[in-house]
Amino acid sequence: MNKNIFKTPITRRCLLNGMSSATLSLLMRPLHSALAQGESAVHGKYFINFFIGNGIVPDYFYPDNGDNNIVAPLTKDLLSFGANGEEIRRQSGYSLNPIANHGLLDKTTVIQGLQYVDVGKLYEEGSNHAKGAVAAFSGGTYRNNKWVHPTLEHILFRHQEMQNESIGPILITADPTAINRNLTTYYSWNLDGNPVAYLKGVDKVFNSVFGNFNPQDTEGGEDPLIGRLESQINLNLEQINRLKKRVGKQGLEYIDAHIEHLVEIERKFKLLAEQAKTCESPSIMQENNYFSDVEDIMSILLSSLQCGRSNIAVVNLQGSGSDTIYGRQIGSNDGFEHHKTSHSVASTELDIFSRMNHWGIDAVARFAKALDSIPDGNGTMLDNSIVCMSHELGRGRGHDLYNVPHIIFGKAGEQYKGGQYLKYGDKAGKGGISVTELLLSHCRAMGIGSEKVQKVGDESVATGEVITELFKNS
Amino acid sequence: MGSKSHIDKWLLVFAVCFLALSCTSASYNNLKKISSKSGNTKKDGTGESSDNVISNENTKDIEDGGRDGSTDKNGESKLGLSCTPDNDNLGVSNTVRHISQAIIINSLEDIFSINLPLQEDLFSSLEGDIADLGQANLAIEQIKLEDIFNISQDVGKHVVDNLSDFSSCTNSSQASEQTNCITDFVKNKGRLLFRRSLNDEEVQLYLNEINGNAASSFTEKLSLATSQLITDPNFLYVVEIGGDPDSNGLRKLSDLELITRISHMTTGKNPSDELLTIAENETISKLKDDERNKYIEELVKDIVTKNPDGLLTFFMRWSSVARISQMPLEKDESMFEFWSDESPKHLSIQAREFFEMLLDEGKDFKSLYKTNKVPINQYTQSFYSLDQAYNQENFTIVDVNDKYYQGVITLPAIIALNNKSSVQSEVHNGLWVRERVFCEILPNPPVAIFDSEIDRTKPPCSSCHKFIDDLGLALHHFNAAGQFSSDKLPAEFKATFLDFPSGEDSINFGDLKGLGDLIVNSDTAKTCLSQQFFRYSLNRMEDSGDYCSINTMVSNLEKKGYQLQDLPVEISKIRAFQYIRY
Repeated sequence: MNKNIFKTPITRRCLLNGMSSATLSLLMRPLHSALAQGESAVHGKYFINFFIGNGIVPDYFYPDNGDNNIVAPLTKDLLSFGANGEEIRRQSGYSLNPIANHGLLDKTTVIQGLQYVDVGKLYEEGSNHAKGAVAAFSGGTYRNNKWVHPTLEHILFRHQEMQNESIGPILITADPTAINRNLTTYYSWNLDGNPVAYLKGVDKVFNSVFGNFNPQDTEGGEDPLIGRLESQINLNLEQINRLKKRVGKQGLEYIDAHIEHLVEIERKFKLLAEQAKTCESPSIMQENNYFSDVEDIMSILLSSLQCGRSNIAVVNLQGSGSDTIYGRQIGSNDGFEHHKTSHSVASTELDIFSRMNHWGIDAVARFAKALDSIPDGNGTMLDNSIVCMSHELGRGRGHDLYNVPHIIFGKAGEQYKGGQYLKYGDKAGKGGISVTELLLSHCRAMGIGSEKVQKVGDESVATGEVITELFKNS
Repeated sequence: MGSKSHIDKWLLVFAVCFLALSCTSASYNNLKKISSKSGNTKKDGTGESSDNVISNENTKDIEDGGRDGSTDKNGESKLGLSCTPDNDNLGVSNTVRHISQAIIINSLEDIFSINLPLQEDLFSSLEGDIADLGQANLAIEQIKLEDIFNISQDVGKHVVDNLSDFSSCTNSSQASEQTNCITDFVKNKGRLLFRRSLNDEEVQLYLNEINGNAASSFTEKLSLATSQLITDPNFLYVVEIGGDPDSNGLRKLSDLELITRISHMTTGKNPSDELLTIAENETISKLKDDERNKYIEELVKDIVTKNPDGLLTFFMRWSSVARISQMPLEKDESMFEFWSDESPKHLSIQAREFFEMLLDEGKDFKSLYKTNKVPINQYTQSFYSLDQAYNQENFTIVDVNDKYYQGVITLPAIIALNNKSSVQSEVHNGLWVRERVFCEILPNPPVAIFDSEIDRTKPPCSSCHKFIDDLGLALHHFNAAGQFSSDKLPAEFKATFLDFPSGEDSINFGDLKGLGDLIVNSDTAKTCLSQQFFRYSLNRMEDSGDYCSINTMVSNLEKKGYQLQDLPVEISKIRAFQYIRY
């Protein structure tokens, strides 16, 4: 049975499949007037974290391989382009080229040299994959199968506080093939801070964002579903009030909670009905392969942000140990498994893996570009966002927990400078910067002050410092 | 940029030692004294709340209680507990609780003749195992309620897609005839869903709402009525008010309330038309006290014989196997080539088949932990070391070597669930035995321990791990995926058991076989299984007021050889099952 029987088939946008930003803007025009009225943000309004597993090829990923600290503008010269603008493989900076290709250099910060070493130790599983995931998301606060104060939880609560309404955390996994999913895709949590089961399948992701009730576009007419739901709610309220009299005070607490849920459901589907008039649900292909899943999920995510369904999202773009097979996506007629290739020491396969890294950066850059095409306040949605692409490992073949890259698109309102390349040492235990400082920086940039959060990450490793170079007012 | 000072490892070691010493002081005494009323103890490893989980102290209370040689109302207790109004006053219940997702699905399938998808495809999250029952009385979560609204649309559509039962109505042009059809539909389906007949006022309420809605055609009305009935709180919540309180505040459940309890416990779904008729005729209430229990016993026996689904659900939830589909259970495929995405499902089916085998064959408590008979098919044979192949999808009952297999504790589903993706976990396997078999809850470990830097065999860690690890190590001939991997068993294991204090810090149980013997000879283990069946059947945790009822149940089970299929029979006769206090 199709769970989404009430979901309207919508024209496919293919917005992340090479569509130009001009075309994208055209399609999104109905939203612009509403969104353009949004206030300019002092702090970040939207936080999206993309996680990607299996590490990188540092030689072809980073702009600089020397043993020095760098704070430099992020320019095209640091990346790997020929004189005619063609992309040159097997050179430093190649994997980051999509940042320039999508015109996002001035709104992007590349951080090299994040350290997971001490943080990773805190997780009991032996795999560096798992340790990397724990470090990237929580600064090592994962205990006994429970996340303890993950960074995004802080951000989630902050947004609830600001907007005084429920913001659904979005958990999305785009990688149905990954092994070790019990940890690395199990990083969603409910409002009590407890993990909830990850969502497998695009339809479930859709429902998590847009709810179970997806009003049909009836071109101005009343959607029959709305009438049905209203009727069900009316009768339900009538019946529950009768029940309330029967059960007496012993059951009152639960009855009242049920009534609250009904009221919230009513509010939700009426809001959806209202939004359906101005806010288009995304198209999804559901072709059940990794690459179309990624497109579906990006599409769902973009719509969810546009439609005000959520300001917070976590996307597992590529899980640990993923055996997704890349072919034409990396310009090859042969298939290469992501995880297996990451382990390779052969130069040809290092080249292949750097192209996979390139593909990942490109996917997120396309999403960031789409956000950048949507006016928001005095700028764009990207300006008011943190779109962080956090990697699980440094060097893939070594499963290194040091020299890990994080790429930050967006400026978090007026917080982050953007347009920077920050390098903090690339050796284990020598230099480098703790991921806990980046996570705390994100909290501050999203408006969570020290009165709320002093440190992010496990007490034993969290320094309570931020990465000052990231900030505009440093 | 902030300073990059290294963590002072000595400081950390100091902190670890400090916390671990707390564990030491907690250790044995805490194990005995964690109160079921503390409500704050969390289990290690499973991530589940153990709020209100009864401690071993309570077990001891039951066993020690009233050693005065008197008899209870149902005959002499093995342990001699005398039930008096003071000690048989029952735990406090809520008058309202929601029904489980499984009951929702099973009931809808039964009432509307529909095959619904699996629970994990219908609901945003699944229900936990028995240890989560402390949460069972809460209102339905909003997200689940949304799921139910969604399911109600699906079932409404199904009803209008299968209108053969309504041909006279659909063909009629008479509005009154169609209204009569809707009225009958609401009355008939409503009765099965609400577990009682609807009163006239309710029926009229439905008709008003259906006719007042934009739904104009007969089929639209029928579909809407279906959806409304399914989301009606009278379906989603069980209400137990009982009769007038006696002098001790106990209220006898009405026949409808009692029949609902029996049906949910035994069949895992709402009472059938036949059972509702029994209840509506007040058949049980009309019986004299001495006939009442006999009638209930026969009724429950009859239901369980025909449909033991509810009992099977209990074993699946008690053993945690029901959780297999709730979370991704993955094994390192580079190490375990036979493991696939389908493996958890096959292991879950095998476990259910195992429990079904025990029930079908009228097996007892001892067999649960000692049997060497295992159902094996083509999907599960690779988990065993076998002399012959079993290449059929159907299961064959196979005798395996009892040196390596001891009933439920060696089911691959449970071992795979407790182990990590690539390595075994003696801690989680040991905890499973402690918690599920002996109902003993251990305190959480200190938080700041680096797994690689501790030696659990030495103080301070050993103060807790001596209760756990050997139990799990006895299962180390199975690999992380739950597959038999070695015929070399370590010889001597020992662990501290509250059953056998006798002045010794620990006892040797030898090997896996010894562990099986130890369990089947343990009164604690027998009481523990009954306690957990109590939680499942009454959908609440027990408290001190229930001890007498539980003890009576254990005692009666013992008299009849503790046959597993008698669990629902015996629990249905105790006062805690037939009465309510609030």
